[in-house]
Parts: sequence; structure tokens; C-alpha cells
Amino acid sequence: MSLTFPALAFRRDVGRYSEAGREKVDYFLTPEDFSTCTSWDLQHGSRVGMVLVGPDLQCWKVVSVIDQGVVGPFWGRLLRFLVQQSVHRIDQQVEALEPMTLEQVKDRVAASIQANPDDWRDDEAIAGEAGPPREEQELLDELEASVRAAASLPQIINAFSSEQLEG
Amino acid sequence: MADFQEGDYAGAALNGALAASDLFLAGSIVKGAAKGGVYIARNAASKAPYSWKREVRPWMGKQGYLKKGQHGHHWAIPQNGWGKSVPEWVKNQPLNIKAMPEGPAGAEMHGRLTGSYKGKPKFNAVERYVHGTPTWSKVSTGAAVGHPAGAAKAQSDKRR
Repeated sequence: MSLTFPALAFRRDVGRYSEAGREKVDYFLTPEDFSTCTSWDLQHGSRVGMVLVGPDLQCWKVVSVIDQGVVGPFWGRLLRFLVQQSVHRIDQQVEALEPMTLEQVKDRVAASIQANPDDWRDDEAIAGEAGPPREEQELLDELEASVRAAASLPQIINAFSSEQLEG
Repeated sequence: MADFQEGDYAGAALNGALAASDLFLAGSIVKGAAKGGVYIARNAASKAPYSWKREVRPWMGKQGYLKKGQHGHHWAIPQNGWGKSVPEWVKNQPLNIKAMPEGPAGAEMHGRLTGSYKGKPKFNAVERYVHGTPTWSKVSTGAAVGHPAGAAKAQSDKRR
């Protein structure tokens, strides 16, 4: 049994304005996507402790991360170095957790959406750039409703991202 | 310096200000690019790696370039209107984002930059310039206007 993709991820809130106990939602489309991260992620340890949920709802926890160095073509590496966004290949050890139900996943995603309005803010809609101004809470509730309407894990990812995954 | 020695204090002040603005501008651009002015997507497999709402905005928050509750305004290339035809990887770069004040005041300011907001009128051109452009852009505007003015003044000094 191993981690399958696309995988939804719950990770700790890290960084300058982080809050202890707050959880962020992320996702990984492919094993390649999962096996790389930015220098910022490494520096802040954003992957350690991250809980992953595969399409089969089997859960995994990242218990250790080993940096295997910067990857990419020379010019890409140089450009990323200059803007401090180097991409590193990482080796992550994961351990299996109990599977979650789809409803449990939805509840956890919904809680994260409501706890992190800054990650989901539609500035233009709230400012009324194209139509009457919308209320932030109304937009968050709509996003939560689309997550709750999902019938599978890929559909949950589609609901809060720009992806169009099948399944 | 020559202006100052010749007693042309206004010319000296103009040239001094231009030199200072050039230094500030160059410094701001280099620092800005290195410290989050440019975003390069990590995940090429993503459907919209430069999506403002789903990728760049959360990234700017994660990095600390946008504080909690702060709106980000696309100041040079808008999200809507003519900006709709501009590729996301161009218009959603942090260099094109001006952070608005925190809280409801930021939403109001953002709204009034592009239209009326909850009964309050759209900002006039001067207010839009003051509230809607980043400092480094204002400095570069000063340099763009100041250098031709300085050159014209030098020419007129030569003729005298």
C-alpha cells in the first residue's frame, strides 16, 4: 500500500503571519509534484507533520524530510536563486494513518477554508470590480458549499482549486 | 555640484533629487525582484499555475508580502477590463500588485480605485495615482519627468 495521487494535504500554518493550531489545505497532483518543494518550504519545515489523503481516502503523515538538493535546468536554477525561489528535490518518509471518510475530509477542508480567509479572498469581487461588491463571508460560504457538494476526493480538489481532475 | 558652485541652487536641488531617486529606484527594483517582486510557479502540472486567487495571492500571504485582511490591487494591468486578455503569468506577478490598507478600509480603497463602492464615488485621477500605485512606481515617474526637465535645463544653461 502506498500513497496515490492526486492527494489532498493538510499542513501546519508556517511563515511570518502564521498562527499555531491553524491548518492549511494544499494538494499534490503527481509524485513529481510531491517530491519537490521550494527553499522557503524547507526553511519553514512546512512539509513535516503534513497529513495527506489519497483518492482512496487512505491517509499518510510526513514524518521526515531530507533535502536532496536544487533541481532544474541551469538557467531556471539561476533565475530561481535570484528571486529566492529555488526548487529542491526532497525525500519524504511517510507513515500510514487510519483512512478518513469523505465527510471527514470535507469537514476538515471546510474548517480550513473558514479559518484562512486570506488564502481564498476574491479581492476583485469584494471590491466590486466587475459587478456589485460581494461580502467576504458569503464568498467563503459558497466555496465551502462547493466542497461539500463534491462526491470524491478529486472533486474536492476541483472545488477549491483551478484543477479539473477526473474521478 | 557644478550648479551649486555656480549659485544655481534650484538646478542643484533638481539634480540632487534625481540622483537620489535613481539610486532609490534602482535599489527598489533589485530588492523588489529578489524579495518577492517576481513569482515563478513550482508546479507546472497545475491547470492554472499563475492563478491570482488560487496560487499567487496565497503565495504572497504565505511569504508575508500581503498581511492578514489586506487586499492586493492589480495596479498596472487590471484583472478585469483590458487586462483579461493579458496572460496570468504576466499580470499576476507581485510587481503588479499594490497592497491596500488592512481591513475594510482596504476593500473600500480597492473598490474606489476601479469604480464606486457602496455609495461612495470612484476616486479621481490624482487619488487613483496616490492610492493605487506603489512607491517605486511613483519614484520612477518622478525620474521619467525629472530627467527630461533636467536635460532641458542643461541645454538652456549651455545657450546662456
